Amino acid sequence: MARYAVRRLVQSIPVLLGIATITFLLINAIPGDPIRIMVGPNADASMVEAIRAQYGLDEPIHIRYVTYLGNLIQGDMGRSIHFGQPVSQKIAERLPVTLLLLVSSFTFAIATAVPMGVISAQKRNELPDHVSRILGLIGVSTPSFWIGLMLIIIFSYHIQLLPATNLIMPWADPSTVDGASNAVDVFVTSIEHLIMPTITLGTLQMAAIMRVQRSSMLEVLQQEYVQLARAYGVRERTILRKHAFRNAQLPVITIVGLQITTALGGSVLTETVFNINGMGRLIITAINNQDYPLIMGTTLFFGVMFVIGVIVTDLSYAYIDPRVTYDEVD
Amino acid sequence: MAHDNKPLTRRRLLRTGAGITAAGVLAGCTGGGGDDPTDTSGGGGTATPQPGGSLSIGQAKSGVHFDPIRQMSVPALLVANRMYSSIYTYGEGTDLEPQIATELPEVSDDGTRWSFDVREDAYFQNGDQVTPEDVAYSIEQPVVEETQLAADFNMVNSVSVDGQTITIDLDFPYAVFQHSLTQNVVPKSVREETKTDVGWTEGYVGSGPFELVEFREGEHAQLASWSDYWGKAPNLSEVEFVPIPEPTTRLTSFQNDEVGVIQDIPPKLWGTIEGMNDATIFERPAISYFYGSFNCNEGPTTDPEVRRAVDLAFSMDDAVSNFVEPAGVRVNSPIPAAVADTWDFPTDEWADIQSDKNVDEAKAILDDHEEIPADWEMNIIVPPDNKREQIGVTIGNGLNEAGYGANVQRLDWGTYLEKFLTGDPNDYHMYVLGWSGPPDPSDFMYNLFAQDMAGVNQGHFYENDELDGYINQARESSDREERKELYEKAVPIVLEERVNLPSYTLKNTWAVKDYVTDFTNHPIGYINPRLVSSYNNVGVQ
Repeated sequence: MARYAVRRLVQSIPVLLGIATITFLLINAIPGDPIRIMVGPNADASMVEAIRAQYGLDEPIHIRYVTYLGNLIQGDMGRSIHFGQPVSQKIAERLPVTLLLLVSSFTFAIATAVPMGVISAQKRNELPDHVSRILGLIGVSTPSFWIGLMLIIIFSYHIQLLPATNLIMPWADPSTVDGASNAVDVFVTSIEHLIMPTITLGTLQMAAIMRVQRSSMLEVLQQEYVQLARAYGVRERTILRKHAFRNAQLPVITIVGLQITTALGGSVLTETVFNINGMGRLIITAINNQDYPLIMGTTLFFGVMFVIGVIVTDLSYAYIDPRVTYDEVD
Repeated sequence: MAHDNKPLTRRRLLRTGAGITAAGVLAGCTGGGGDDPTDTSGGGGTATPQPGGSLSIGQAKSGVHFDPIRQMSVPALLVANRMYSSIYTYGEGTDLEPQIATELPEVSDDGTRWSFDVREDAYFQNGDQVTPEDVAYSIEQPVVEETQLAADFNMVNSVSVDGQTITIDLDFPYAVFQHSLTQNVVPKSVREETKTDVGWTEGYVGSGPFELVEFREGEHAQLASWSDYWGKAPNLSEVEFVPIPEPTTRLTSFQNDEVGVIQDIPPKLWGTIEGMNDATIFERPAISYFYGSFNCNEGPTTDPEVRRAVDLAFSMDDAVSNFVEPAGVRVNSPIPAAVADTWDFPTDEWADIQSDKNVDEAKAILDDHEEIPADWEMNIIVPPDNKREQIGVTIGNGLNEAGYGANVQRLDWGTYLEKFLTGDPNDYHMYVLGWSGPPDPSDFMYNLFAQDMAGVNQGHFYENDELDGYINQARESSDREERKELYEKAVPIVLEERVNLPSYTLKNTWAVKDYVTDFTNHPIGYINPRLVSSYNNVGVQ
C-alpha cells in the first residue's frame, strides 16, 4: 500500500500543476486591476504604474507564469498584494482555525449521520426512518449561511446562550481569552464558540452521509449472506454489527471524502457569518481585492487538501475491506 | 475585553439554567425602545464614567496595517488615530486645531509658505521626544517612498527645520493643504529601523493616548491607554476593535454586549437598534458625495439634452428615499452638505436646477433625437454596492418607462475602476460612483470636474474651459471669499449641463450602548470613534 500511496502522490503533481495553470490563466483573464483596488480611485497613474512594477505585474503573462512556477518550486508562494505579507504566512495563520472547524464539523456529521442512517435502514418505513429522511432532505436543501443566521438569531440574539462571533482555539493562552483563568475555562469557551459554526458547516455533510449510509445499509441488508444469517437464526443486532455495518461503509467513506470539497466551500460562508478568521475569509478577501498571489496560494492549498482527501479515501478502502489490496493491483 | 458591568453574561446564563432564563431574556430583548433613541447631533451620556474601564468596538472591516506613511484604509484609521498624534486635528466641526503643532499655521500671502512650531512636551510611546525632524519626515516620506499618500504632499517643494519651527514651501498655492497637515506623526528613527520593503508592518510607536498591545488582522486590535500620555489622559484603560463584517452578526454581538459600540448600521437593521431600550444611534451626514455621471466623451450622452432627458425619466428623490435612507440623505450639489453649510453656499438655488420626474418630456426628447435609435439601451455601470446598484436600477427603470432600455452592470471593484475611466460608450453611458475627502470644496470640484482629472478620477470627460478656469483658480487661491465666488459660478454649470446627477451622502452611523459615556460622532468618518479629544473623553459606567 505504501507504494500505491507514493504513486498517487506523484500522480497528484500534474493535477496540482493543472490547477495552478488554469487558476493563473483565469485570474489574469478577468478584467480588473489589483493595484487600482489597493490604491483607490484617488491615486495618480504614475504611482499606480510604479506599484504595479513593484509587484511584477507589468511583465507579460508568460514571464509572470514561469516566474511564479519557479518560485513555487522553491517554496515561495509570493507576497500578498493586499496584506503585503508572504502568502505562506497568511495561510499558516489562518489554517489552524479552518482545520479545527473542519474536524469538528466532520466529527459532528459522522457521529450523527452514521447512527441515523443505520437506524433509518433498520426501521425502514417506520417513524425513525421518516424523521431521518425529512432531516436529511432539509439538511441537503438548506443553505448553510441561512442555518448559521438562524442559529445566531435564536441562540445568540434571543436566548443569549452562545457567542455569535469568533473561534477560540482550545489551546489558547488563558490570559488572552476573555473570562478564562485556566486551560479548562479556555476549553469550555472554545466549545461554546464552536457549537454553532460546527452545526452550520456540518449539517449538509451530515445529511449527505446519512442518506448514503441508509441506502448502503438497505442494500447490504438485502444481500444473500444476510438473508442466510437470518435463516440460521443469528440475532438481528449481531447481523447489523458484524455482517452488515462494515460492508456498508465503502460508499460512506467515498461520500465523506467527497464532502471535503463541499466543506471547504461551506467554510467560506460559515466563517463569514460567524466572523471566524480562517481560510474561507482569506479567500473572500483575496478575491475581493483581486490579490493574484493570494488567490493562487489559497486555490492551490484547497487543491492539495482535495487531493489528499481523495488519496486518504482510497487508502481507507483497503483498511475497511480486506479484499482491496492496492499493491497486488500494482 | 468586554466592559465590566454586564447585567447578564453568557457563562452565568449557562450555569443558572438556560431554559428558564432564556424566556426572560427573550422578553427583555424584544421590549420596546426609548422615546427617541436616534441622536442626530452627537453628544453622549453624561453619567460619571468608571475610571479605567474597557470598551469593545465592532467595526465593519479590519485594517491591514497602521503605517501613517502609507495610505491606511478607513478601518485601519479607526484604530490608528487612537495610536498616533497628528500635526493638526479637527475640532468639534471641520476646523483645524493644533495637536503636535503649538498653534494654527502661518500662511504667506501667496499661499505657498506654511510655517508652525512643534510643541516640546510631546513624547512617543517609547519615551522619545517628538521632534520637528519627525514631523518633517512624516510629511516628506510619502513622496520619497512613492506611497499612495504621495498625492497629498507632492506639491511640497521643501521642508526646513529651524529649532522648533517647521517651514514648508509649496510649488503652488494648494487650498487643501491644511487638511494634508492632519497627517499622523511617526518616529523617524524607529520606523527607519523597523520598516520592511513594503513599509512599516509591526513595532508601531505613536504619540497618541493609546498604544497598540496586540493586532491580529481580521480578529482584533487591542489598545491600552498610555500611562505617560502627554495630553489629556483618556478615561478608558483598554479598547478593543473587533472587525465583524456581517451586519447581522455585528448587531447580535452588540445586542449581547460582546461589543459596546458598532460602526455602520445597514438601513434594514436600523429599526432593530431603534427598538433596543439600552442603546442610542449616533448619525451624522458624512463628508461624502454619491452621484450618477454621464459619458460626455463619446456617444449619445455627449448631448446635454440627452442627459437632461435621462434626468427627467426618473426621480432621484424617490430612489434615495427608497434605497438609501436612513443610512444616507439626498444631496443636490457635488459639495457635501456639511461643507456647503460651513461655506454658506446657496444649496436651495442649486436644488432648483435639478429636474422633477417627467417621463413624457423625457420620452419626447429621446424620440426626437436623431442619434438615439428606437431600441437604444443605455449602459449603466455600478460598483459592488447595493445602494449604488439600486440607483442605477432606478435610472434604468425610468428609461424603460420612457420606452427605452438600460443595461445595468454591477462590476467588481477592480473591473469597475478600470472601466469607468475609458470614456468608451461600449463600456458605459453612465456610471454611479462616490467621492469622500477632506472638508474643502476643492477636493470634490477639482478631482471630479477638472479637465486634468479626466481619465484619472473622473470618467465623464466633460470639457468646459470656463468651468475648468473657475475650479483651478479656486484651487490655487488662498482667499476664501474669492474661492467661494468661484465655486458659486462653477457648481451651477455642472448641474445645468447634467455632467453629474447628485444623489446622496452617506451618514456616519454608530450604535452605542447606554453604559458608554461621552461618545460623539464627527462628520469626518475616519476621525471616529473620538475617544479623547479637546471636547470629549469616552468612558464606561
